Amino acid sequence: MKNKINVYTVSRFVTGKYFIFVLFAVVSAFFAMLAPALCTPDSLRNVLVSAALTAISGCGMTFAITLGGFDLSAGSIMALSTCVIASMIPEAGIPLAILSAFAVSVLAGVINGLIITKLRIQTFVATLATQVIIKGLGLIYTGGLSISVFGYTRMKVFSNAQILGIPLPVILTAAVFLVCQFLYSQCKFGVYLRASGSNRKAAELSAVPVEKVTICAFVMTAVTACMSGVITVSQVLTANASTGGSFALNAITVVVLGGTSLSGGSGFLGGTVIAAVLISIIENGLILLGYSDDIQRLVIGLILIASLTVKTFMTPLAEKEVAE
Amino acid sequence: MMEREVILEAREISKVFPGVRALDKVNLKIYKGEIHSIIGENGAGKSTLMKIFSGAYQPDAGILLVDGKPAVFKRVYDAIRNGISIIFQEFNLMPELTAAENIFISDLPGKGMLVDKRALIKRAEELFDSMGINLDPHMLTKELSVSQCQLLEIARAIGNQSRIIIMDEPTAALNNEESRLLFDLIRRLNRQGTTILYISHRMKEVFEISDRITVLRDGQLAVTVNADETDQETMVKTMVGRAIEMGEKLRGSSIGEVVYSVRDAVVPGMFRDVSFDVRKGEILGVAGLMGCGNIELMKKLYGLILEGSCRQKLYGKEITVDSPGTAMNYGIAFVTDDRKNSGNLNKVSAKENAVLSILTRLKKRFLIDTRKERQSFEQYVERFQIKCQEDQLMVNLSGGNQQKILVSRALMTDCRVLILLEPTRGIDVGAKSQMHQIIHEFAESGLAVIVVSSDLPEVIKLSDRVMVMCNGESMGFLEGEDINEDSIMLKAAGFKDGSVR
Repeated sequence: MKNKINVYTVSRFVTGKYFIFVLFAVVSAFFAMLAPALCTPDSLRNVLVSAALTAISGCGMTFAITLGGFDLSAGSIMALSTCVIASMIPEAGIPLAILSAFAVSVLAGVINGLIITKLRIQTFVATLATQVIIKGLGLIYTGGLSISVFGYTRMKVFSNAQILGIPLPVILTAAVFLVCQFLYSQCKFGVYLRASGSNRKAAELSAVPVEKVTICAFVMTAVTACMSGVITVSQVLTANASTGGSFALNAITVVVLGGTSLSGGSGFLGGTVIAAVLISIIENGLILLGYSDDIQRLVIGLILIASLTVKTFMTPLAEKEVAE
Repeated sequence: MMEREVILEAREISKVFPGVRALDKVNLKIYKGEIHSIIGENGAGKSTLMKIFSGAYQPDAGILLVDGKPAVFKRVYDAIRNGISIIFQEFNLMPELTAAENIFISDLPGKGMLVDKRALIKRAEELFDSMGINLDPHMLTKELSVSQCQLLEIARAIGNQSRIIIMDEPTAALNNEESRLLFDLIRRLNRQGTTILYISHRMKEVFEISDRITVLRDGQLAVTVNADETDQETMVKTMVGRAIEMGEKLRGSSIGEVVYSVRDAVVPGMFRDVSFDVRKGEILGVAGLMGCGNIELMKKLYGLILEGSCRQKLYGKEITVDSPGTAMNYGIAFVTDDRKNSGNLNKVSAKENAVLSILTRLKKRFLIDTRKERQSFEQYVERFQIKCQEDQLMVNLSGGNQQKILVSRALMTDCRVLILLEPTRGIDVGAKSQMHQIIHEFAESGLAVIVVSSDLPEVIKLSDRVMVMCNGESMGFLEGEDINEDSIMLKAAGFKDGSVR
């Protein structure tokens, strides 16, 4: 009997929420062996920096998915915020430009939340629509043109600066993760979020402020998308409203790979961040091995399917019974 | 008689749904500190009345009085704040939350926006202690059993400072032992001053626990009586408005050769070494306490569980069942115990629900022969007296009619073996006795029937033979006069031929 419980706990640990750690260990060991160049400090720094964008927006997306929804408009919000920043820097300066971008993003998040709660439109459809609307607004705002701010090298700070040898994007990622984790695990908001995602009707009957929580969750995805936008502008010193096409899907990918349940109620921010790093390792590792971009996508897609398959087929019997 | 304090009163409450007068000027007083049962057939209006008491519905006419003062509940939480909690049959729990979080979700401890997790756990532990129940507050609710969820719901009601707890069919999914524990808890709460409103189909329980009983019939209050001034027979007659024969034993008259045999069925962790035969025209009851493996055994036989192994023979020929489809092709039909989740297609019409398994037979080239479809459907509607329109959505039918449709679906496949899980769970007395008659008739016509039920009187009434299971093992068979409550319960509790295992 005791033995049984151990097997159960162990297999649940490995195939359940924490599967991402196993996957991470296996894949990084694989690349470390095949491409030792990946293990140099510079290379690792690159891996982390390129993971930052998806990790940050993934944290916000974890909230939306824990709620049992999606935010497909994250990419458009990211693109719009880059446009706001780039267009305002020459006149208003960097701080005000960034603040404005955040204000615009919060507004976008609130609107997403209101459409979902007040008009009772499913998150998927609602954000599918706002994705197009926000992109449209961005294109109107910029006249469809790219905005360059090459002259404003101070903006580079957000991608180039290092503190104790750690690049700022990585520090920002850690900060976002910690704040989100705090909200998720230490605040009433976190419990309400899981409650609403787990059984919305029951949560409403228990006087959980489901609508407020929904709006907050979508503001979180919008704000984290905006942070990614800040780093993006800083990296390329250019903004274009039509970018960010696969941004939301990348974020959803790392959230799902990280172990957050798509059916809602159970999020795993740590998994999201690890999954973002994992994807980055795969991308960088494949480049070092001399493969093209296209192969990267193929591999990421296959890994996503493989990891979900392992979870489905290795989940202990007893747990499946409960899930039925 | 002493004048007692009225804690909750319904005055001239009416509620109309499109086409149905669900409640018609109902007057009901609930005394402080009593256990009051509300009984009635499905559709009698008891659920509607409870939903009005708990704020889920608002009455079209009439008022509610709490402690003699008029109260308007716009939503469930208003009722909760007035000390009235309802525990629905389908729980309102959040599966991904811990037990403790579920209890105190409306009132999380902690300063400002923070949650004080330690205080949360401590409060839950204290509450469980005061209720005398054993639950781990850290457990995720999705990992709890049905009876534990029930306890959790009750704990939540107590945690919300409820003075009145309404329970809708609380024992529907519990076995005898769990029901007994629940009753102990109800009595304990009652002694501590909680008023209980108890809704049930199970007459025996109602009499076991209630101080007073109210009967609703067709949306009207038929009678409210003290439990010790009446008896089960009278109450059942009042409920249905006609006399019903209860408990008369049905016996197969023409039991023939073995149709279906199972040997050495085993699924690790669920059951092992189970073997049995079912004969033509025979009803085999499979009884046991919840978790004894009888439900899982049937799921294995029907190809719903792929782990483990078992040898199955149909008319002496070895068969291999690896999916419900193959089972059906061999003539094995199956009716689920979980109507809501794995039986009904809720938003699909009654007719389509019924003919679902025989669509290939109704095919005319690439289309469905609608005339044949209707014929098949109507034949069963008539035979089973199903009250429904063919295009009525399944979700809008009463539990009894839904169940009849599901049984029709199975029978339409012209099966030779019929496996029924909890065939009368959550359906009213009238429909139940009809369902028993239907099962009996089909067995008489030559079907081999297996009935798994946690309702002992049902097993006793229907079965020609009973296999009792305990902890995943068969405890042996009972036949004829040996089929009685005592002998089944002894075996179910693990006594095999009088010796403890």
